[in-house]
Amino acid sequence: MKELIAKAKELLMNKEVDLLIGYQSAGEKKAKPLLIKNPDDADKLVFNEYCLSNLVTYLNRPDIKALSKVAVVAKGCDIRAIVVLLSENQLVREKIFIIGMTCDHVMSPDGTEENIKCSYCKVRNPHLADVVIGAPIDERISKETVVRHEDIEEFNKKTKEEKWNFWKEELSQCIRCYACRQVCPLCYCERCIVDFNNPQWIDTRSNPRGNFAWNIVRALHLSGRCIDCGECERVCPANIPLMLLNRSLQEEAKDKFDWEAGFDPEAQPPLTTFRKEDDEEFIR
Amino acid sequence: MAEQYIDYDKAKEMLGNLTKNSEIEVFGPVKKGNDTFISKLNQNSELSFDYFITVNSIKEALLPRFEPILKYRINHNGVTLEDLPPVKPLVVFGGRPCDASSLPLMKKLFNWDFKDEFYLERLKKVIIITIACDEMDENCFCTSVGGSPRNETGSDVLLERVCSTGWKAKAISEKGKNFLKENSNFFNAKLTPEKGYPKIAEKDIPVVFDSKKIKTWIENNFESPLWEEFGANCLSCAACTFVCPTCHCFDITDDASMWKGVRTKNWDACTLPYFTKHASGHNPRSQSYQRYRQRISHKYSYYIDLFGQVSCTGCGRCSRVCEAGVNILDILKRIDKEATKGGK
Repeated sequence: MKELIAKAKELLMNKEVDLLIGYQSAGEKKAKPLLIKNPDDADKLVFNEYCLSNLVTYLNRPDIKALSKVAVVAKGCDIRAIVVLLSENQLVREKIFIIGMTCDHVMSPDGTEENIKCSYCKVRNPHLADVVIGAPIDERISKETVVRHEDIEEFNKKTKEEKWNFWKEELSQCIRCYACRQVCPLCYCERCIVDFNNPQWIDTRSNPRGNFAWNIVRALHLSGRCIDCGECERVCPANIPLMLLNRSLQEEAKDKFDWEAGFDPEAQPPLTTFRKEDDEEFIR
Repeated sequence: MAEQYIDYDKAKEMLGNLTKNSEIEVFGPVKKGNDTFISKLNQNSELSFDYFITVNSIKEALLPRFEPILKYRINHNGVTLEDLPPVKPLVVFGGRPCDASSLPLMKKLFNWDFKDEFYLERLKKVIIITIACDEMDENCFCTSVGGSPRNETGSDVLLERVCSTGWKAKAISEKGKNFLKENSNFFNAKLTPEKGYPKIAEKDIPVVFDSKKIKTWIENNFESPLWEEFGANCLSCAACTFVCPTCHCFDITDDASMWKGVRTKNWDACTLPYFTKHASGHNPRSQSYQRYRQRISHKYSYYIDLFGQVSCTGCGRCSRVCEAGVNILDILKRIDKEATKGGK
C-alpha cells in the first residue's frame, strides 16, 4: 500500500498525470473507486481482495478521455481490458499510466469466498504496466491452458426448451438500467445501438422481446472481446447471470479462432481482421 | 376488533390464494441469490420473509417498467383505437415504510398538470401491506426526511414484527380495514409476542441532515465544484433511479407495423447519458456529474418548489445498488456540513 500511495503522490505532484483512478475503502470488506487529482488525497488509496471494480471502464468516459494523461490502478484481469481497447484503437498508450498490481485473487461480490474468475486467472502478474506494485505471485495455470467452465458444461446439458425457459425467466427480470453496459470497459460506443430511435433498432421496452434483443446484442458485441472481468454480472441489480452468456462466447472464440482476448496488444482480434487462407468462402 | 396477527405460513397461504385469482395482481417478496425483490407473484413464486430490505422498491407495481398507453389498428376505413387491458386490483405485500411513503409523493406528481389515469387508477385499486422495519443499515436515513421505521404514510395495512415468524397487523386506511376483514381467516394466527421485537426504534436512525438547509445550498450552488466530486464515480447507468421508490421519469415509444401499433410508456432516467440529448446534437447534461446533480436537485429542491415535499424517502436503495460507490447519504451529509459552514 505504501508503495502505491508513494507512486500516486509522485505522479500527481510532478503533474505526470491529471487524474489518478484507484480504490478506496468503502467500509469493512468493501472497496470502491477513488478518482483523485490532488496528491494529498492519495493517502485514501487502498488495494486489497475487495477491490473488485474494473477501473479501466473510467478511461472511456468522455470527460476523462479529454484529459492529457490518466493513471489507473489495474489488476492483471483489468489490464486485459486495456489491451483490447489498445488493439481497437480506443486508447492512446502514451496517455495512460498503468499502475499494475500483482494480485492472487479478489473475493466474490458478497465477500464470502474467492471470486470464481480467479481460479483460472492467467495474469496474477500484470502483463502490461508502467510500474508493477506488489511481490511477484506464482501463476496457478499456464497461458496455454484451455479453460473449460463447469457451469457452461452443465448448462449445455439442458435441452433447447430448458435453455429457452431459463433465459426467458432470467431476462424477464432485466429492468433495462444498462448498468451492464455502463460498467463494461469494452462497451465504449458513443451511441449505443439501443439509444438509436430513428429508426429504433432495439425495442427499448422491458418486455420479453426487448429484453432478449438487448441482452443478445450486448453479449454478441462482446464476443471475442470480453475479458471476463465479470463486472456486468456484479453490477446487475436484477442478479442476472450474464457471465454465463459471456463465458459461452469466450469458449466459442477459443474453439473457433484459438483466441483469448486481452493478452497480446500486438495480436489482431479475430472479428476485426481476415486472412486469405480463411476456411470460410464468404470472407475471402 | 381484537388484535390481529399473521404468521409466515398464513401469509404464504393468503398470497398464494390471492395469486390464484386472475382478476387481481399480487406483488410480494421473492428471493434471488442473496437478495430479495418485490416481484409480481405467480403460482411458482417462492416467497421469502426473512429479508432486511428488498433491492427494488414497490414502484414497479404502480408504475410498470413498460405499459401500453395507446393501441390502434389501421384498415381501409381508417384508424381504430383498440381497448387497453383494464387496470386490475392490486395487492402489494412486503414493502417497507420507505416504500409506502413514496405513494402520496407520486400521487401529487401524477395528479399535477396532467392526470395520469394509469397511475391514479392503480393507486385507487391497490392495497399496500407494509412491513415495518426491524433492521437497518448504514444507508438508511428515513428519519432525516420525515419518515420512521414504523411510518404509516401510504400504507393500507402495517405489519409489525412481534416474533421471528410473524407480525401484528394494523389497519391504516378504510381499504386496509376492509382487507383485514375480508381476509380475517389469515389474520387469526395465534402468536405470542416475543421479547426483543421490534429490534429497532425511531431513535436508532438518527436525523443526520436538515433538508431545508440542503435545499438552500442547492439553490445557491449550482456551479459548485463539489458537484464534480459528488458525481465523480458515477458511470451513468439507471440502477439508482430504477430501484428508487420516487424516481418516476418515463419515455414514450411507438412500436408500429403497417397495420397496427402500440404506444408505450417506459421507465427512463436522468442519469442515462441520452436523457437530455437534443435533436440538434447538443446535450445540456453531457457529463455524468451534471446528471447526478440533476437527480439530487430534483429530489431536494425542485420537487419541494412544486409539491412542498422532499422527493426522497430515505430508503438508501440507490446507495446499496450503486457498485461505483456513489452514496447519497454521504453526499447529503456533506452538503449539510457545507451549508452550515457557509451559512447559506
